[in-house]
Amino acid sequence: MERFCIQEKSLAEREHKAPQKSLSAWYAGTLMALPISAIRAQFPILNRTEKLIYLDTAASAQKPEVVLRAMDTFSRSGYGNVHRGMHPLAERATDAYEGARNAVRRFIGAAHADEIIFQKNCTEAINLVAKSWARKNLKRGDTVALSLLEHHSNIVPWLQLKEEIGISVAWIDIDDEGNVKMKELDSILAGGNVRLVSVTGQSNVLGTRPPLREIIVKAHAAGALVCIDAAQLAGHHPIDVQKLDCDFLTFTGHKPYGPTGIGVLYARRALLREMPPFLGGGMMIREVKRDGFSAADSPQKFEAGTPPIVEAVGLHAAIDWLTQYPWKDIEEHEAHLLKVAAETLATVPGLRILGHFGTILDFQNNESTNQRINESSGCLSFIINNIHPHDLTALLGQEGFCLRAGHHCTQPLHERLGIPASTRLSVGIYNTEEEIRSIGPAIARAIKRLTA
Amino acid sequence: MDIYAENILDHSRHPRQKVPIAKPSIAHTENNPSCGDTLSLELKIEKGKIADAGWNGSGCALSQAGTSILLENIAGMKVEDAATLSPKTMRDLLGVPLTTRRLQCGFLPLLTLRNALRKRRKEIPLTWAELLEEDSH
Repeated sequence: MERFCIQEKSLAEREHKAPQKSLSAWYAGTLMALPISAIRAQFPILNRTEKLIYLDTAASAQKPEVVLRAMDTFSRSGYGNVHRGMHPLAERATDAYEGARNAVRRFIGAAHADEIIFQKNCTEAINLVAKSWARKNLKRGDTVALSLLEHHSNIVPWLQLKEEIGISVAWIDIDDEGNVKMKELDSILAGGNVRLVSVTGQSNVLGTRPPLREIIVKAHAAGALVCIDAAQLAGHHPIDVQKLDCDFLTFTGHKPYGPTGIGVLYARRALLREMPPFLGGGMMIREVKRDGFSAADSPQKFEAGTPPIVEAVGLHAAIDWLTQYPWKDIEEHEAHLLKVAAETLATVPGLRILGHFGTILDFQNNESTNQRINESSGCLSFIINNIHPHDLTALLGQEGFCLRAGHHCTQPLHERLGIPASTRLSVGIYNTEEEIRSIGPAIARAIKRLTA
Repeated sequence: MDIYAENILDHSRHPRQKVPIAKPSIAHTENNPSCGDTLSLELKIEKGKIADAGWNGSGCALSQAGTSILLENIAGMKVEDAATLSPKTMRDLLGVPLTTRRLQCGFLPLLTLRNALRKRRKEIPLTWAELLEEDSH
């Protein structure tokens, strides 16, 4: 495999293209769409001489300079342990960590900072709901309803609870395009013992966005709580937990352009008050005696041990960076990229796009197609006759294209779709139409190589 | 040279022995947890040697080709030699460089073979971590 000589453009060279302060000031007053070149220039990894077309943001997003610098600066000048000690660094670090908590609160429209719990990632956050709220409140015969779109992080904890205490897991089927079958949700809820509906805000394979508000209204009417897995939704669409009126919502830092190592659980204050701690240790206690302990209040109750302090600073910087751009512009840009992707992929013989985007050629640029395109976001996935996704993505990778192959942690979804594996193309704020179009010929070359 | 060398492409397009065998002595299935390759192996053992082998499975070119190549090479092999076949030998049989992300694709046939034979001796299966540790030595 050829290795390119890799050089980093100097920071000064990149900054000249995208001066931080004046860019925001200038942009704020304009009605222009996203300044994509200026955005790309802020991502060090996209500005190396190595050719990289990064279409794997659904797996993890690249980080802009301000996020990297915020973590570095904090580590060099403000770092200390949080909530412990009275010295200057303890103050600075605690302010930074709690400041990040408040930034997350504003980012998702929560009412109270104590409703924001930091965890390691979204998976851990969902596990917190399962092993704290559900394990205490659910009993044998109670049902948790999941959709067939779900990621393993929103499946396995519930199956574990099924093994441990005998809850039932009910599956809400999807149609062949990936839409959640709302009539099935209705009949599952009518069964009478559903205590929780836990669904994704955006599928990491099909991009489908279930109608969350409708699901929440139906679930609440049937006496069930709702947990939203927003791992893919965060960073691509605005989230307002009060408008949604969801009971739990989880997401991770590394998909909306922040660092790994930090995730978020949002839960209503009243729920958190009653929930038992998850992990036990320092920080989450009020008192520890030789024969027992009492837990602190939320959020500390659920944040045992030293938290991801530097990562919280990074997540705060990522939220500030992302929210400088109007959501409408981000949504339009990414929807356009996915439309171009669908059009490009549709020209490859033997290629079938899964979900909504698979029907794009059936309709030509009319309102209903455009509306339906907007029901899916972030990614699309596809299969090609007689070509295994691993081989396709390995060959694409040799040309610098970064796509993802496999079951994407959604084995039940792939079983429902009748396929062992798929290839996923996902987009972020930094992708361009040119990048997407260039993948068509690259896929054709890979197919030729594998079938010649 | 990359992993899509001619021998790999040839074996993946025309896999040898990808059929069930009559009266197998042992059958075993493994899969590649990173993604979607599965492999079911059947072995017929007579007089301490591998008399016949067949397989089924789906997956990437490397795992399919690897199985085809491996089975060609273990025909008539003594069971104890097959049971201790090393990652190094598997690499030599494949004849292509394996990057970190393709190790499990390339070693799936090996893991399946060794665990089929462990199963026959009622031993606990080899884990991926143990196999990859052998490879690093």
